[in-house]
Amino acid sequence: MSANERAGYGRISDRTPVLKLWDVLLVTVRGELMDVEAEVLSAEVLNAVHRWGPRGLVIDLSGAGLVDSHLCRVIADIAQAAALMGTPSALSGLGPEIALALETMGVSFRGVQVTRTAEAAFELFGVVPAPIDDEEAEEAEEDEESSTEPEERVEP
Amino acid sequence: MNAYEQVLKELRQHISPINARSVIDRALTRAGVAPGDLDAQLWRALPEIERGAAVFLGAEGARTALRTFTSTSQSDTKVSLPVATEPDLARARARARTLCEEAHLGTFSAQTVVTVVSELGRNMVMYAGGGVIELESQNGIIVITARDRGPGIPNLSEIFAGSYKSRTGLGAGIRGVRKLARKFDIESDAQGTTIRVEVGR
Repeated sequence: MSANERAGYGRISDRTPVLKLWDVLLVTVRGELMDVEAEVLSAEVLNAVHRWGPRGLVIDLSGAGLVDSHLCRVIADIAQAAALMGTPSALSGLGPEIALALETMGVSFRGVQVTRTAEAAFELFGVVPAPIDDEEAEEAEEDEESSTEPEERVEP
Repeated sequence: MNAYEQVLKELRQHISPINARSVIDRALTRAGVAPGDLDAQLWRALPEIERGAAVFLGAEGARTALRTFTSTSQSDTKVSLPVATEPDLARARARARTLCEEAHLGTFSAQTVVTVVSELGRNMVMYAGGGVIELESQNGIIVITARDRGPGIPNLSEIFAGSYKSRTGLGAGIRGVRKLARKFDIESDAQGTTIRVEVGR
């Protein structure tokens, strides 16, 4: 049993999800990061970057109640290493209190784009939702009832 | 006369009996304090009572009306937290947050306090073999004192001048804390380090 398991934290890899969504990797940092977790997080993220070669890496911090200089360092290192593998990073989800604290401390994330939301970060990397046109959907329903030919959907 | 009756009496000097009672009762509901607990929890209910009274008296008027209670009900607490491991540090952060809530600090000040605790605590764990973090709330100002018996922080003047590039993060943490604090004092030598920080409105 590892030290973390003894402390009741469970397997670290279960709690640091790295999600591939289309061509973008999403990492959500939740709660407080202990040193061992930070190492595992880095390894998982960078392995995923290497494996998938994503267009972008989004690090979302909306679940982090606290961002201190250590976490900033961890994030900066991850972003820089990802950049060395050809993947740009974006940071999202910083709330007003954390943003002000970071600004007061003089922290800046150089070379990392910062957006308010994870969605905005995805848009930065060219992943945009294709909205379903209501009119087309209605027509598709009517046609489905009256004919056997499948309606061809045209994306704008 | 208990706290409820005292506050009621004070408010009735400024607004009608019915409104005074209504202000207090609604405030207690909002604050989650039972009328019988008001003696012990006055500090918690007071901001809400002031808010309710302000509807009738304006913010300044409400503050003046409740003046006698405000000065005596600030909860002054002192907490001493040994920090030697990362779980200790997590506990210290949580305790700091609770203290900020009890002292009615705004969310921005609370964030500052917890960040300071995290930075100083981490330095203590990483470089000094542990130490103690004391948290004290004095009239809305939080005093954080971090004491350790570690080897001390070298190059302090360089760290503050920004010329010491600390790969390990020790310098960055201290610099950040100094900028966050309204008051910052540090004493450090080979026998140990004491850092005293004030955060508040």
